[in-house]
Amino acid sequence: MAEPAPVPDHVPPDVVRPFDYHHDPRFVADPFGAFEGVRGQRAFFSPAYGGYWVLTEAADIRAAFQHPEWFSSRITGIPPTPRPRQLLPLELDPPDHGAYRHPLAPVFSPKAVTLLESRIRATSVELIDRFATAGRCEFLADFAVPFPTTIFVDLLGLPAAEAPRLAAWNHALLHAHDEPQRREEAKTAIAAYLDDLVTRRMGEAGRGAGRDDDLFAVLLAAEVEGRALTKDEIFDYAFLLFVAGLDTVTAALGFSFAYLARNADHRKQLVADPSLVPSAVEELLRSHSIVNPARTVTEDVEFAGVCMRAGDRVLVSTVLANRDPAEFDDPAAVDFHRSVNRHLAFGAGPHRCLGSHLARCELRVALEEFHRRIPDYRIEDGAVIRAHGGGAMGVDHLPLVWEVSP
Amino acid sequence: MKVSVDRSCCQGHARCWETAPEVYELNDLGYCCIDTIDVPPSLEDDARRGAAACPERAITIHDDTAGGGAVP
Repeated sequence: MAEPAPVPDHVPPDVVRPFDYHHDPRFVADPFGAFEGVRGQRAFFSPAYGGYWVLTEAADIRAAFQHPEWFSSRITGIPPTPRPRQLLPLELDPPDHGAYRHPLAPVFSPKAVTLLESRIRATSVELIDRFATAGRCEFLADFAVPFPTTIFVDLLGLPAAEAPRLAAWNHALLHAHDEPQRREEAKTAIAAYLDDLVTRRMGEAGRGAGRDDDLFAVLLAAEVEGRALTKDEIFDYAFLLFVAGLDTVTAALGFSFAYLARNADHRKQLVADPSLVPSAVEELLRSHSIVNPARTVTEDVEFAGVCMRAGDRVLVSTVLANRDPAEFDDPAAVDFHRSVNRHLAFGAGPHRCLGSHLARCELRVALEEFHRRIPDYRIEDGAVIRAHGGGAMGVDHLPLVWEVSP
Repeated sequence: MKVSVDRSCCQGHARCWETAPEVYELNDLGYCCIDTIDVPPSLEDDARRGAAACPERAITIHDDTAGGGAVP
């Protein structure tokens, strides 16, 4: 739980406001509503987790993302996650960041993702066909978890049978906050698994063997600052892709389908006109953003109307940015016809989510294929849908039911 | 009408290209690779919508009729 820290001298009392986006029980019922509760004060300071600033306005949040010279990514969690080395390239600042991001950029570019779409579609159809005639599914376990995990496993060049194991480790690592031992075990297991994999792939590459069309092949061929990547660096990339790439699409799918299950009018729009899906994806990403990263102030700076000191932690929430009424008319309303929708669900600045194009493709395909087969569904009677807050918010459980023709 | 892209500000969201592929071109890394271009009248609306889709605000529309310099 959050231990309130003494408020530093440079923080005036009138901007101090307790705020715990990890464990406040209001996040369980409605994390977006819980964030709305803090709007009104441009920037405030929460004493939780060692103390951190919260920016509440989209323009400030965008500026913080765009200015790594003031807001460093060296440590991205609140509270700080102790790590022996940086996640690559997530926890680097320019100019190192660009050098380390560059090798991955072509793999995740819009055009590269276009080439993956048929495999993504086949994966989604195969999963949906398993439960479509059953009239029910637990949307997380049956679709939202295995779908992105299977695609990730394929990108890494691993057999699809590895997906469930990786998904279970990932979930324990990111969400078993109240079970530190389970979390630690998952971390150790993932590290051993990836370490083994990197060693094997480096050995194969040394003998001129192994696959040449997956992510490991790209990393093994990559050069940063005129040299090949080290084993540790390849491991650090793989670990980041693992923690960043699986859980986020799962969460976006969970919130999107929970919303559509409860809002038949919106669902009917997608069923009647599938060409609306791309703009629906953008609007669901905007209205149900999930990522709340943090930055560290590099030098004393006056920003968002407050004085920040070097070393201060700052929460740059995409949830707050994307529901700012100064930026979006009627921000709580979900409108698939919103004409301008330059949301920050994938962040902004040099750390813009590298997987954004892949994520968009996965979400679009899921909305298309699910509604093609299961146009009318609802949340199971009596089910209580619980969400979690934190750095990557999500839905914990989503039982859906629908009528099946005999 | 002209559009210009501040390429130092472009971060590869590719929303401009997604919205108006005939106006905004991407390089192999997925970043917009135009500097300043003339937009034919038939694509002016597309160009405006593409500029308005940029989360970084990297695209400026220079409207002949408005005297230039208009920011989306």
